[in-house]
Amino acid sequence: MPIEEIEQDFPGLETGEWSVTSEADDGYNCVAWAVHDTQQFWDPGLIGVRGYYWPPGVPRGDSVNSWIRAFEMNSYKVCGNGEPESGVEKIAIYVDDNDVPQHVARQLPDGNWSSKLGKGEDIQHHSLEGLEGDLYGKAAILMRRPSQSA
Amino acid sequence: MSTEVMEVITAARHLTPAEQREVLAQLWPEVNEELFQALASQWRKETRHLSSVSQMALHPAYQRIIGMGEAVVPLILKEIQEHGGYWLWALHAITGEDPAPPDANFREAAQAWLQWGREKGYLS
Repeated sequence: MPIEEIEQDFPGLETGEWSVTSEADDGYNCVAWAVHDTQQFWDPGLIGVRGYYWPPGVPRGDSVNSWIRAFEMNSYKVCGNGEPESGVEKIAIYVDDNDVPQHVARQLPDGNWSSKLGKGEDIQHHSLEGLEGDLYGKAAILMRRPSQSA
Repeated sequence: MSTEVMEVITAARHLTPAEQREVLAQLWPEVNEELFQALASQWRKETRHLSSVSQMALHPAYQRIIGMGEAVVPLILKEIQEHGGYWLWALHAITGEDPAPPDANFREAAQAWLQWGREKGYLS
């Protein structure tokens, strides 16, 4: 997808450093990407249509609690900030004005953030604010777990 | 408006909306495909960065495509071939079927639908 189209949807990116880091791939989404899964499309909303994954035992529905529970099952715990910490991996859940989760970004070891944009590409962005706006709302919930790459 | 169109509209008044759509799709398949392409293009553009399949599927263009009924199943399958998936809900809603294995991931489910389309004669 052209860079202009990404910046059109996320004007906050224009003021900071960001780059496209993958080809578009519709086989996984931001929730999957947050837990390093590129083989499944994680979605809590579709009961009865095969092809989408949601962890067994986690309530379905596009709610913050449902997303938090899914990440808790992957060792994440809610934390207070998105500052980089050695040996720790963080994610940030974006919610809209109605507290409906819209996106999740994963922090990279260097403190930058990585996001899978819907059906499109993965990008690397310097700040969480870069993706805030009409589409994804605000990065409101931070979670952390011990780094999995060590 | 042509006499042919007027005659069809007059004759179609006693049909259900679903039957009317089927008649229109058979008489003017190019109109049906043109409308589908316009709606699919609008949907791709306006949902390109959404993460939630529910939100993608509730988009008005997606819902209008579902409302076009079985006539657009071949067009949806062709769309999956050319632009990828996210049409599993629409195909399920229109046909009532789900040919994907219970534990299929998204790519496997899309392939299962394409195979289903070939077996049904929707795809060559």
